Amino acid sequence: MITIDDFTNIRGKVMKFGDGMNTDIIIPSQYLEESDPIIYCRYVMSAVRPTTYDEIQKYEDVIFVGGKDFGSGSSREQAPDAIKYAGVKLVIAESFASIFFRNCVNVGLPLLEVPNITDKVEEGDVLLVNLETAEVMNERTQEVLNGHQIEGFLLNKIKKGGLIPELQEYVKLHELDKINN
Amino acid sequence: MEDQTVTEKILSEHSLQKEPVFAGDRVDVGPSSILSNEMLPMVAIPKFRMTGAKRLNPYFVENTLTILDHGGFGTTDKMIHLHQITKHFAKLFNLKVEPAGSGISHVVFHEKGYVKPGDLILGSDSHTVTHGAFNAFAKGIGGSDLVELMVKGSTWLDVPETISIKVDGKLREGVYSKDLLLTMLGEKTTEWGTDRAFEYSGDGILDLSLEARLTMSNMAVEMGGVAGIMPYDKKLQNYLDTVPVRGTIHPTTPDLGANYHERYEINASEVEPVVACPHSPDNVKSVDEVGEVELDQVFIGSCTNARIEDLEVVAKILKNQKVRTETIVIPGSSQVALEAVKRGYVEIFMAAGAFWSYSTCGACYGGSLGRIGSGMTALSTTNRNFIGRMGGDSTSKTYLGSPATAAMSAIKGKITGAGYKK
Ligand code: SF4
Repeated sequence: MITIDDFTNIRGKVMKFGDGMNTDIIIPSQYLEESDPIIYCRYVMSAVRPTTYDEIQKYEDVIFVGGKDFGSGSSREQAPDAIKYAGVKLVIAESFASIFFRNCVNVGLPLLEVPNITDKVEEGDVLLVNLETAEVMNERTQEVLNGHQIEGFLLNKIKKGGLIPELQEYVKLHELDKINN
Repeated sequence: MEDQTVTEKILSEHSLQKEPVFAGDRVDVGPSSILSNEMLPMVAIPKFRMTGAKRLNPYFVENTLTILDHGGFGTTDKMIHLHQITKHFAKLFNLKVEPAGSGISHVVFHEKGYVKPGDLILGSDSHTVTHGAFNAFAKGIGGSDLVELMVKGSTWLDVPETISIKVDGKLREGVYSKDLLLTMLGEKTTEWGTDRAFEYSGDGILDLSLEARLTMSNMAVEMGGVAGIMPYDKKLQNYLDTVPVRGTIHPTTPDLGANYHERYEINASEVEPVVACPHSPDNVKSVDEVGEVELDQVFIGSCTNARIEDLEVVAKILKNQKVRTETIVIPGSSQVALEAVKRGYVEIFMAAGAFWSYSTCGACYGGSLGRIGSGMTALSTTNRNFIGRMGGDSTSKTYLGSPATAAMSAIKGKITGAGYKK
């Protein structure tokens, strides 16, 4: 039974995208001159669905569902940051490109690989997801789908909020926050 | 010890634990050198500030080259500002920066001697894989990863499984390594190498020039791969002799019994000129098959195909000809530009009616100099043709091809192969 009592359980409404959602679609280059994710996140997915940002704001919690090779292309970390800062709680896809996967972990954006998810889930469905066990329950169909479990090492990083909080601890521990050495 | 792939050997060599590692292991590494670009001011500097660190790791300072390539020179107020931030930061911490206009990072980096056989290269750009052509393991990383290197001088990597690509035979006249790479990509798709490294080998690879190999390593990432490693040979050594290489080289070969996830073979002599059609680099068709495609623009540039040999091919085709389509040629670096001037190529380009520019990424990623608009169709020597990649929207189309195809198409005003007979 999946409950929503801690971080590893996420409940949200599906916004569905297809295969090959590359980083140029997730956040087009002309918005990258803006360093602040709170500003550029407004253009998330605008290349294929211009209303994406506004729709996310209307719903309580949103889960992106995509097909194959989600996040292929550039190493731009602004892609997962744009998704995260727009307010998306989780990205589920059939497969992820390598650099994008790592960038998601680094910015603390939860993600899950679930084979055939696009066949099993429709736009607007509500999903209940346990990140720890990689189980996804579709509330409409009551079907439980099994994704690929995220390894503990990576899940811990996501839970901590990504790499920067980890580095903050490192900096304090090694007194790199002091100017004299 | 168990037999190893080149990937496993290089990652073992650079592991902080100094232990042999194999596919599936996780390893802490210190890279030989680090490439950075505008990812530094856009993402890494703000996040570095968030860590609270007051200084950069000396190892990072020593081994990093930042090349301002994406933004162009004096293009927009915001970009100028980002470049200024970079310069101030670099001055504060003694970082080396190549200013906007000096070239594309994946050309400048090897011209400046930052890559050599046996190296582990990490760079805040997905096309860092280009440097695999130097018999190195080179991989793209994100902005936060760059921050980790700024703070700790090290990071972690998963040792990938490797796919071996063996190329036999020679490319025929009028067929180029871009055609070879795109042919494989068309067959195996952009998902082929996800989380895996590629290692190239075979007579067909040794037959290629270093520049032709750079094109193939560059597009290893379009095949989904985390690295695209070429063998070491005399041709590579000849190039290394001309640049100020940092440190000693460690040419690396795979062991006989090394464990490969897949062994793929292709015969180069069967490859035809091809283009990747909109909107994915794996949507590949032969030039003959693609039919009549009228072009609004031809773009010759990028870290894939803008080195001197690429410009030589273009110059040969454009000599005493006129382009019928707006054509822009952007050299890979200022060094390439100078050589093109010396060899008279620039005169040929301009006499043909093509535009010539200073070196930058330009329209490759829709930055500057030749962005396309709504409804426009372009042929480009770059590596990606995603929706909106070169500017425009879902009605804009980009085809990818070799410099030869680009030059011939520029003359005809529509997609045309160059001097290739079946
Ligand atoms: S030339 Fe294109 S692919 Fe290469 S680094 Fe620049 S934007 Fe990226």
